[in-house]
Amino acid sequence: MPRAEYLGFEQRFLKLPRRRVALQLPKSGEVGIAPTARGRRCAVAICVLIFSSLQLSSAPSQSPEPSPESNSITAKEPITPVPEAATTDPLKIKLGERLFGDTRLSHDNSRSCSSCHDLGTNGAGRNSHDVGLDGSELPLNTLTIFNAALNFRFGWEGKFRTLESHTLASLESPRIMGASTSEIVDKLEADPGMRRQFAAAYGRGPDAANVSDAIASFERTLVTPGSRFDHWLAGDAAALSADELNGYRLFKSLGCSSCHQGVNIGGNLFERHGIFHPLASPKPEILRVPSLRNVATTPPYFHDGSAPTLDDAVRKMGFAQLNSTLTDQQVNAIVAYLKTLTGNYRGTPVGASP
Amino acid sequence: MRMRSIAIIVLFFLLLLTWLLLSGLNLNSVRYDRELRALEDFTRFERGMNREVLTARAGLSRNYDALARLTDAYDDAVNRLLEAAGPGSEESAAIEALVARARRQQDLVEQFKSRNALLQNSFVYFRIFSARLAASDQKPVVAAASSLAAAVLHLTLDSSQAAAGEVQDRLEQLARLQSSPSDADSIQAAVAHGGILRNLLPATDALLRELITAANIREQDAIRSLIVKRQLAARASARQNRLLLYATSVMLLAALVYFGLQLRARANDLQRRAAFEHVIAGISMRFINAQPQNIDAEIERGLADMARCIGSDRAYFVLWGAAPRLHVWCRAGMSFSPGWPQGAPSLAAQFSTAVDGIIHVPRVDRMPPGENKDACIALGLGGWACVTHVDQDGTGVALGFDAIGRPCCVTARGELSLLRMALDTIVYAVGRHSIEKERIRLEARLQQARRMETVGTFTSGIAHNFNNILGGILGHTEMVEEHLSSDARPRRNLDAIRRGAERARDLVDQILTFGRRREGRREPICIKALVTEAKSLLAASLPSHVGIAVSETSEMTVVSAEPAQLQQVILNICNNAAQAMDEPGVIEIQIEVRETGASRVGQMRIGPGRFVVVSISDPGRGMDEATLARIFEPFFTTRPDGNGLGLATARDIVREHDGVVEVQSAPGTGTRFDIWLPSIPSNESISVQHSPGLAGRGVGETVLVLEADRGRLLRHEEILAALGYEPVGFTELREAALADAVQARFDAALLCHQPGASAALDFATALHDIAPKMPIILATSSARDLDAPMLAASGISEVVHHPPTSSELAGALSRCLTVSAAPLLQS
Repeated sequence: MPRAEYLGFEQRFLKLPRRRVALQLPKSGEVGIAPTARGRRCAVAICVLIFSSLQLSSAPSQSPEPSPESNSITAKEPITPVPEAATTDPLKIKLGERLFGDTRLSHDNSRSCSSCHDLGTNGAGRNSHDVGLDGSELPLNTLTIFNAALNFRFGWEGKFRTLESHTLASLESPRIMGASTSEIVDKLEADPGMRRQFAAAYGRGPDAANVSDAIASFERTLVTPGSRFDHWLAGDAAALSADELNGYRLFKSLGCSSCHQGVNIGGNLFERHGIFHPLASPKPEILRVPSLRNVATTPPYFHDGSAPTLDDAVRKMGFAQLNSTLTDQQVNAIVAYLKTLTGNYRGTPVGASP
Repeated sequence: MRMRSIAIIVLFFLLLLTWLLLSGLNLNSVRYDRELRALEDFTRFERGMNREVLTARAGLSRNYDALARLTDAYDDAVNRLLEAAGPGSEESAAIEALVARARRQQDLVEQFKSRNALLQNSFVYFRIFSARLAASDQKPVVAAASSLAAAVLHLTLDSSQAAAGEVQDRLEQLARLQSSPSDADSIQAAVAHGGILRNLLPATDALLRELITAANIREQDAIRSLIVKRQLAARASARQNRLLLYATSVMLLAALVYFGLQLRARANDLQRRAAFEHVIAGISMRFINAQPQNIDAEIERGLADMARCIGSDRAYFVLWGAAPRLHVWCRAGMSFSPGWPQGAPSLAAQFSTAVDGIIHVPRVDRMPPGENKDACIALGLGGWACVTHVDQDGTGVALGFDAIGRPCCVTARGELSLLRMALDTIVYAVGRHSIEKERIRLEARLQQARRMETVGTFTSGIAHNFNNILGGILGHTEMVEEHLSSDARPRRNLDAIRRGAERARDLVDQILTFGRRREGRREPICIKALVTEAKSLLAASLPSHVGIAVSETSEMTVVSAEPAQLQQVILNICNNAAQAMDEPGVIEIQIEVRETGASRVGQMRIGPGRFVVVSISDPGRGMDEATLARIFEPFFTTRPDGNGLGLATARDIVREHDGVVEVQSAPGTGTRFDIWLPSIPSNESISVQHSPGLAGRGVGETVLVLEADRGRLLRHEEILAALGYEPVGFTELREAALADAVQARFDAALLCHQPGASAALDFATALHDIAPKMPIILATSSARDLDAPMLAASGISEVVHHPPTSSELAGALSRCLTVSAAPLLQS
């Protein structure tokens, strides 16, 4: 066999231990490349590089998602499990995390993103309305930052298509962070450590684009996989009790899942509220359907924070949106189901720590 | 300047090539590819979106994640398309329309999602409540519910206005029914959800229709065809540019080849030139080293070398003018036509195209027809290169190279200038050669002159001392004579001694005259007058068997000269002639005016111009070559009593007058002397001809002569008479004193001084007192006891030897009378 001869030749002249070669033979598909043939590999790499640079038309752009066309018809359930966080660019994520907790991002250095989005608990606060920079209450309840990246639009009203634009808008909003990008950049620029970190992640100093990108990169990692329901979806029939499973069935049959579906159980369409009966404060009329992930940990509920408990919220939703007065039993079952939606952030169930 | 233009050209080509390359690469095609891909994605995602919407509407899908993702991808495709197209492109208007449609589609999708959620719920609830009502025990409720269900079912299939109206009717019918409280809730819920269905079904279907209608492919096709068209155009232009690039490269390559060939040709030329220069340098070096006698051989060898170097068949060097030369070379087996190359200069002169004396005929067969061409063909020339030059003397030179029956071998202009250089080299060699010959000749002359000078100085010194000794001998002889009676025997011996001493003194005198530098005043004189005078002087002194005949010319014969000296020349030569005549005969003096263009007469160098020639010929013995060569040497004489100074003096005088003396003689045929003197324009003359004593010729002036010896007195009177003066002789001082009364009668006085006696001086003093203006000439045999103050005090203006010779006397008298006459003329 010529290859064996070839290897024998190599071995004779390169004084390789025969065993090592023998071990590699079955393992690697590219047996032709001997372990020390680094130079040849380099040459091949250079050739490939040249060919690829000669290719005038670039390769068709691949969308990062598997495919937007992955068909949902075959999916048995309207809900899909939360994927693990992608950590493709750890430097950026690390920087984003640091910025997330950095008060220099607010005009008066009084608050950071995490002031309202408490990652230690539920990714939001416990207030029905957080307080703005001017001391007055913000008009809408603060949404949790957990799994926010899975929404198709951002904010209660879904005005932002990207996390970056939403981040920038929050930073520049006079009532939320009240800063300007140039101000933030100047402050970060003054910090050598920060500058180094930016240089390491982006190859340049901080600017508006990479500040928002770093924060968004971090936010994309704030997903909470591993809920009991996701386990059940993955095939673990024992993950849910009969009661909870009953609750899920009710959730579907009562029509909740018409809006609350998808990976984030909501968050992928707009809907009017108060279809049959008024729900909460009438403005704004159309909301992006909120996600029900970790819903048990994020009271109070609704855009105005008017429902203090989950029970209350389920009942109100059934009446206003479905024209259906739910029985206590039904409510309990649904609530029991909703409680199985609490996932883990960095191995810890959301809202577990005080 | 040149560098700058080269830089500009290089920059231009660089820019051109870069531009062609960039155009040829078709960089825009990437953009078109991106656009096309974005457009494709747009279509794909729009279809996917629509399919997803229909799926959701049909209730097959209960999850909007896929739809949301598709919508995002759709939006992204639109943005990519917008970005790839860029602003202001041809298709941007169409793309803008597409973008607007995409926004609308997305809005519709969002609306659809919201409505569909409600719709699906309402379907579920309507189904639940109508099922409940169908199970009611009240017939009308069941019937109404059934008909409502049927109407809603119809509406799901046909969401037209009519179907919606029917559902509305049924809903109202159901709502109007009086029913039991148990059914009331169900009825209310069914009516509520039925109302939603009635409103939402047509609206949602309208949305769907709008979505699907809007998603037609025509707009994309239009854009696609636009992009494809542009892409094809870009490709075509890129191909064209690549072709242009290729053409430019080929052009540059051609230029490169052309320049390379040019370079090679230049290099060849240079090489040839260098070889030719080398040959010329070699020839030149050989010329420098050549002995004068080898110069002709060297020139011919040089011609051969040059002809071989440039590949010529025949070569020649022609010099015409005073000393013509001809050197030729021709290839073995070839020969010169008759009259060639002697005819080369005249043929060259016919060429009007010659620049700077260079004639270059590359090909005779391509010459314009005419005499020249015919001449060249007649000579068998195929090509001809010739360089000529004529200097101001009329001496011309030509260097020619012939090619026989083939084109001229000299091709480059540079080589023609080298031909000139070669010509110059040869001309210089010839010139140097003749200069060398001249130098040798001059060297010989100079040596002779030095010898003469040494002899002259030597003899002058001897002569001076001799003169003093002779003075002593003469003085003592005279003193002894006084003590002897006239018939005493020793008297004869004394006479012999005195005569011998006198002859010796004459000889010494002549030696001194020869050695003296003559720097007399020159003036224009007429030769004819001078010769006439000389004839009269000679008539008195020549032997009787010799006659003189003068043949004059009618032309003016004026020269610038010192008359006395020139007279001496004629007298000396005539005396020489007379002495050469043993038989009676006539000396012929011929005066001519000759123009000469040549620079020499016989062996003598003399400038071209107009000359007065005095030819003196005698029919005497003549001379042989050896004698002829030496006759002008001082002290050379063939006569026992000759002193050998006459002709030497004559030649020196003539030479000092910028003239030459030429002699032609042969034994037995006589001798002819030609005296060449430069002529001057005659209008400057000529009062001098008649001025007294110009050439020692008097005009009847009375001269007092005092001489103690009566015999000599007579002789003196004869000479003076011959010179044209009126002599009045005295032998005694007393008699002279008697003449005091007639002092005014005399124009000059000649007093013969006796050495040791003061009588003559005393008389001179007395005479000077009486007539201070009268010039007094003292003749003395010895100037030993005389000194200048004494002479000046006695009013003596000239001193001559005693006995005075005719020419001496003539010169002295003429000088004295000119000086004394000048104030008179002025007053």
